[in-house]
Amino acid sequence: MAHLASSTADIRSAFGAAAAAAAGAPPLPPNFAALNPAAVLGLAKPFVMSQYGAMATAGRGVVGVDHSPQRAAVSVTPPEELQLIARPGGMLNALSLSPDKDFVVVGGRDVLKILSISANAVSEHLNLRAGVRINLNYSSNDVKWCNLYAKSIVATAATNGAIVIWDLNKPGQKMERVINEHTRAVNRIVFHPTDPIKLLSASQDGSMKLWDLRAKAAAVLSFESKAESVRDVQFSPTGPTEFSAAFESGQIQKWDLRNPKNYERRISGHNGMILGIDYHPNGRLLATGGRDKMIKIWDLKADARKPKYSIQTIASVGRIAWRPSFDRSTMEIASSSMLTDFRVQVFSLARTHVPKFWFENHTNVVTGMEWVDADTLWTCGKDKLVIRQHAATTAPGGPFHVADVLNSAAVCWSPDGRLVASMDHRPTAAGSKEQGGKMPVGGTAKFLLKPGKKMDRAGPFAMPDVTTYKPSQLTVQLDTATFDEPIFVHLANHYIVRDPETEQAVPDESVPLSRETIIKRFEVCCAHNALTAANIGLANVAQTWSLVSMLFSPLLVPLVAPTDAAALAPPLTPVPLTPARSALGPFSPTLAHPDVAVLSSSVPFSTASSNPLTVDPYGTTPASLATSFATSTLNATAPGSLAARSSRRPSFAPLPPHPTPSHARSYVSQPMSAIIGSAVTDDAVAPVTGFVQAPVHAATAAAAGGSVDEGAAVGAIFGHAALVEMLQGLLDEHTDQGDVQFCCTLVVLLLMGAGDKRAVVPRDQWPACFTDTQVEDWFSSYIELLHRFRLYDVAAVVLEQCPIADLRTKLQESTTIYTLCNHCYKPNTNTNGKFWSCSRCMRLVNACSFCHQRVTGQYSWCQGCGHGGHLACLAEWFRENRECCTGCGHRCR
Amino acid sequence: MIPAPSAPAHLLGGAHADLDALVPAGVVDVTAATPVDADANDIRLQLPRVLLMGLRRSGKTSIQKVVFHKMAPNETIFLESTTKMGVERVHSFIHFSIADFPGQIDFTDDQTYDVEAIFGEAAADVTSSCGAIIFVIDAQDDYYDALRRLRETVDVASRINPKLYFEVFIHKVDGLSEDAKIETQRDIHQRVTDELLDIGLLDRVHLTFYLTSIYDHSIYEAFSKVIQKLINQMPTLENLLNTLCSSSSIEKAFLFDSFTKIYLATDSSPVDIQSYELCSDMLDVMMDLESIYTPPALPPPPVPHDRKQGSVIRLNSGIVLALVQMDKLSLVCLLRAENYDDKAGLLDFNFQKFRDAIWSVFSL
Repeated sequence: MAHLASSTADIRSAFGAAAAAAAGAPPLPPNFAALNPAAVLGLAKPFVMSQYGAMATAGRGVVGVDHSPQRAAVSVTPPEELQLIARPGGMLNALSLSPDKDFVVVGGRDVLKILSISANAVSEHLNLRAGVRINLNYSSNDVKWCNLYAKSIVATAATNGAIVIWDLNKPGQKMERVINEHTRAVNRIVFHPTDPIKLLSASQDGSMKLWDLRAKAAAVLSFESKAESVRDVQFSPTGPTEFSAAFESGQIQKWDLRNPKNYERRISGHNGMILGIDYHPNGRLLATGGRDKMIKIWDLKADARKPKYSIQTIASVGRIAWRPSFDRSTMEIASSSMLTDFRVQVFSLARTHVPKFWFENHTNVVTGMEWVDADTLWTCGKDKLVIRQHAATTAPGGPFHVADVLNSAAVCWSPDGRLVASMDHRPTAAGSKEQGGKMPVGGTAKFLLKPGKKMDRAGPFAMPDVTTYKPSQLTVQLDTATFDEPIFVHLANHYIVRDPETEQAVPDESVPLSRETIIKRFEVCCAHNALTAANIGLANVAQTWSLVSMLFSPLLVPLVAPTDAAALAPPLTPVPLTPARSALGPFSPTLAHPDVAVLSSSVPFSTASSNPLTVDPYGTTPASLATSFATSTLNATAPGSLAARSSRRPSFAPLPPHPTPSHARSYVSQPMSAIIGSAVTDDAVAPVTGFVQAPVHAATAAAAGGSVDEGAAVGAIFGHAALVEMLQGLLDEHTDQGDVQFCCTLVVLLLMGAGDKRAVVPRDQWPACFTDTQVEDWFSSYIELLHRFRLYDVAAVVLEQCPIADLRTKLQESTTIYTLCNHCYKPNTNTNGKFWSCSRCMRLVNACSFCHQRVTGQYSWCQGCGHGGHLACLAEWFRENRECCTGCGHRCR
Repeated sequence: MIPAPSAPAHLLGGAHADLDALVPAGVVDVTAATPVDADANDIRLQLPRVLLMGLRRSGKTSIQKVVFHKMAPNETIFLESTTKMGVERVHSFIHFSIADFPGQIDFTDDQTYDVEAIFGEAAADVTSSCGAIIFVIDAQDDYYDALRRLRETVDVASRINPKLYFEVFIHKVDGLSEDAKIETQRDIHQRVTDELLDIGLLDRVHLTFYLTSIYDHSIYEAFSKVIQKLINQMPTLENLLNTLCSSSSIEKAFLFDSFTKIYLATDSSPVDIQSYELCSDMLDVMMDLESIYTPPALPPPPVPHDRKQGSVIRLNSGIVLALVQMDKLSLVCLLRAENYDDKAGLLDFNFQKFRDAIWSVFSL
């Protein structure tokens, strides 16, 4: 075999013979056999278990290596799909296959071996790290087998910066030459793909050097990168003079051998160092992987600064390798990580977010890999293993198709009660097996080829368009009608939690509030809320509020001892008001209680508190509405009887339509939605639970309302304990319905003294029905709901009134206010609290439009054009003018 | 902890601002111990000066405070803008000074300032020569002004001292997204390259770009790389570490300067941020502990380089962190437990050999 030159000096003669070798299938180099005939003979055996454990070959999950002949015969795995494992002993840094794919060289700190490959075994062929004088030249960062034209040459990059050339045909000592020209470690060496004499080395010192293996002199060319250490380098498979290098600084440089002075192109590729680079066989796509956990794929023909594809991985990328000649429409790339992740993941460009499959046969980081063909991948790692893995096998140790087991159905609630579900259509298992685990691709592959031209003749530059994976999926949207957004928003905006009259006056902290003031204020708020609800047709909610106003004011003032209230009505037992889920049933006996009926009818009508709905704090409600509502309430205050109660319901029917037409759709709670609501929102504290006014609630309210009339007297009648129980029932009912809005508003009104600090009920005097966890649940749910509907101002008001200080702080933490300069739109960096001027553009922020001075205190502006300033300035201007003083043309007056 | 400068600085007044002659008022010493007289045992590494330059509010003083004064990064917002030159002398194993230039003043004006003294390379005395300029650019702001200033600085300084290293810190990148980081770096790199090409300097200057932030370890890494460039013995140190790693099955080894947490060298395997953070945190812990149990009056006696002092931390991931102190240097190694357990003696021997080798390198 002439092509096996005995030394590198004879490579040129080998070059000539290469054509002959390439013509026929090159046989096993006879010299190899001569060197270690036992190993060649060993190929016949399935595996040779070495006595020293250096070459133990059986590993976990290996199929077909059983020594029993029957088992081997039964095995359905073809031999080329077998997973082969070798343990050359010692951590491995790199591997390289011989051009004929019948040998593999592996190198590491303590290993440098040549392994021979047979159909179903890998065995040690030659140990290059042998001899008595072992030095650092024998421990390698990288190994490379030369190409088809010099099959006996192997080069290694030693950890001490030396490049060692080995000639396997040399008798005895195989070391051919040691090149010590790099001052720092050599990270990568690469042979020219077609020219056997050219070797390129990439070093930590930031330079790349091209070596001529024939000349034992200095480097032929030296490329100074002016960047940091070179981590990887590779020749272009198509351009014979081009190569690309990856740097620790995150740069990618493309060089041309003909211009060693400067790089041809530079790409700022990654944040942090790049560790791996690989040309696609088409020579046009370049993949890089780096410490920033990204694989980026660059189109070298395009002038784009952005990568054509980016793949996010979960760990720093160590090595990458394109899967050769698989399916050209779904280009695939294998990657291994630098640490923590021991898998070899194969990504498809059609679907970059999830690996197509992975191999998890290694137990430590994979440091080297090489594809033989589309399905066979050789890997080596720090776990001291060399593994041949097969991508199409189903045997144990084969690929794990992660995309097939991903959860492909998703469901999500929206805050307004809609439900969205999505399901993926999966290919059947049989189909995926036949196609080697091919993913469903929505559509056919397109190629940038002229129609009618055969793909093979398009040459390597053909750039197939990757068809992006489009899952065929089904999406369903359901309206569950469990939550009525307009109602929620309207109520959130219009419910009040503090008395608007007292809000404007500055409260004098020193003066204690009288009991009457507190009750008055509570009733005003309740009345307003009832009116709000009535305005949009929520009759039952309005009713509940007016009842709340009447019933629970005794709870407001904890000074009244519960025993006093009980003493007023000694014969009364606490009313067994159970939180009713059934409609009317349990209330009937209560209503029929003769004492209650007598008492309520005999208590004189109290003008101070009996008719809260006539109080109209804003004076905006149409008088007719107020009147009609008042009338109906008066009706309701008639002595409680079932008849009165039933007659009251229709009295809401002639309500005038709500002023806002968009709210005009049906607010009457539908029984259907109530059923859905209670079925779906079992968990009452979930933030997206529905808001349902069930007839159940109406019944409760009506029932309670029918039995009791006068606010102040109620406490005396029922006793404190009964009131608390009733309140408990009411709150439970609303919690069950998911109506946290009502609960929160009531909590604020009852416990926080309607916003006045002086009337806050201390924690130890809270009615027993308020527990910390429950209040916390209500408030966090309500605040979240308000945020979801972007009612930030309402949320702020409610949050301010939250009775639990810890929760208040917690919920306020996530609130951030950003201030921008209105000239340069840069964030305001002034941290001392005052920002009259922007520190960047040095201009006044929001100066008076008239006098261009800064405005402190009151700032008045036109809501039409947005211009404004001092009230005095504007008043002066608008005395004589009608248009804006800035000349914007807006007629402000 | 650091004495504030007492006398007002008057360094910027003269037409010839000789840095070291005029600076003393503003000099702050970052000293591990009281500087001991240089005797035969006290081996130290004298490095040239490093200048911190950049526009105002770009973060120069913050970098200096965080790296050399252990200031918490979120406290740096309270730093006043620097108005006068501050020179810090770092007296650890590595001796060098850092000059923090106020951003408002343009030092490239050779009518006003002695640019020769600022940027020049003194053949006789390495202390007063300038080794590297760290130019800080605020990535969250418009950087066009900064780039113009950078060009002027490179122009003037490289004419005076062609051996200068220009290290551009694209700073405050913690506020940017991953894509924006890359894009900013690319844009700045491109603009600087174009401008330097225009003035014909591109082939002659050493210009490197780093993305840095004081909120993670990137600033330490970048600073370490700058210092590494100034160390002539760096390749030797790296090869020594490579040899140590391969003969003792160490996964990763860093040679730290104990007091500044700058690493002088590491082996040639890629630095991953997690292991760097682990090692640097371990060093931090050890130094803090040492300072607790050392009486404040007495400076810690320098550990003679031939005496063993170190500690070991075992992680639950089967990794052992070993720290070996040698004078003001610390060697921090990451290795697997199985390579440590039975071979502690062997490792100690190797560490001893490595220590001797380091000392013979620096004694030359």
